[in-house]
Amino acid sequence: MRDERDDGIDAALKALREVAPPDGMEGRIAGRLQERAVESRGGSAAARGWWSGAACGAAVATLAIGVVIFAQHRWGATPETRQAVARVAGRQDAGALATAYAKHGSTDTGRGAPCASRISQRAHIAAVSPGVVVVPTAGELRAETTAPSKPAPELPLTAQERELVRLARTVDPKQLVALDDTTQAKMEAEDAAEFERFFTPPPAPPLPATEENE
Amino acid sequence: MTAIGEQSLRWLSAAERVEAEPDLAVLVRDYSGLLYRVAFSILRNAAEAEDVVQDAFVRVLQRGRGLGEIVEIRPWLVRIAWNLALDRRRRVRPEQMDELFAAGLVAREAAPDDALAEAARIGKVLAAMERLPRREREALLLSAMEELSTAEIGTVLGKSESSVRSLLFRARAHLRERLRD
Repeated sequence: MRDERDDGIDAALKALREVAPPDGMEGRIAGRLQERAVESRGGSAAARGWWSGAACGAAVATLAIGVVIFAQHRWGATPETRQAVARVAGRQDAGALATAYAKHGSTDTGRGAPCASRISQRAHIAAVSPGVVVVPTAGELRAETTAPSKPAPELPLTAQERELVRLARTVDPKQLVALDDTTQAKMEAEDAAEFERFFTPPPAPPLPATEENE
Repeated sequence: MTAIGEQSLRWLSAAERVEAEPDLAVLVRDYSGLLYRVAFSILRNAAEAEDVVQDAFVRVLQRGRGLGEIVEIRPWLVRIAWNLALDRRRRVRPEQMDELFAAGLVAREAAPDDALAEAARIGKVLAAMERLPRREREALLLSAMEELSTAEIGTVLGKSESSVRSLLFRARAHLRERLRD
């Protein structure tokens, strides 16, 4: 039952089956694979070197940061730091603050003391040495930054206040006026008087003059 | 003594493993032709098919160790090349290559009188093949590779052996119908 069409199909499949690879394909592929293998080996070695260097650098940086943080936590600000942050009004003498500290017995012996005591010492120095202006430390600045704002921001409107604002914008002015107790009482009194006037019988007309009366 | 024995055993098993690892050069020698034909059957373009073969072996190289764990290396390689060729097919239109391909075949066979008729017939079949449903077309193309059994075709396509047989039957039937038109 095979016909021409089956022959055509088989011929096409045979043609696909018998396709020959281009000359030298194996050699080209093998060469390319060798290059890739060398590249990947070199690349992996370079990557290993890079990663190990990066790891060492990160470890050193972490250690240095840790040491700095520990030193700051343990000993607080050094005298050099204090001198750096101090400005002396008029004389521009960076050592004046240290002198002031020494004068008032608050030199490096104050290391490790709580921050509040250092602040009070500075306040005392400022009081007794008007020429010395002490710049606040980073901790003081941070505390001031995180302190509540002065003056405090306006509070949001309450529900009643919001309702009043809404009424002022939308409701009839006569109704708004009625919200006042005095005005409302006055209006109610007027209404009551008008009511009374309406239902009160009119006064009897005067009688005509007669002879008998006369 | 026990430690030395254990070390020797470990070394032996490692040596066996190395021996069991197929060499990439051997794989290229044994399978590059088959992979080329598989790729060519989809792409009908020599340069593209060669690139696919190269890419397939690069994938094998990237896999590195562990080739020994692959039980059926041939369908595995064919599947890699097959998928890579299908990816490339989006860029290459095989219809454009069919005429050149058929003409090249005829020229090789060097049949002066029947050359044009044969080229036209093969071109017509290839064009009709392109219009087949995808699964049927793929099964038919893979069946052209003599090295692949029906079970291996099923492995490549992710189908059972009976499904592949059914696909092949339907593909031929549909192709005959289309060629009659």
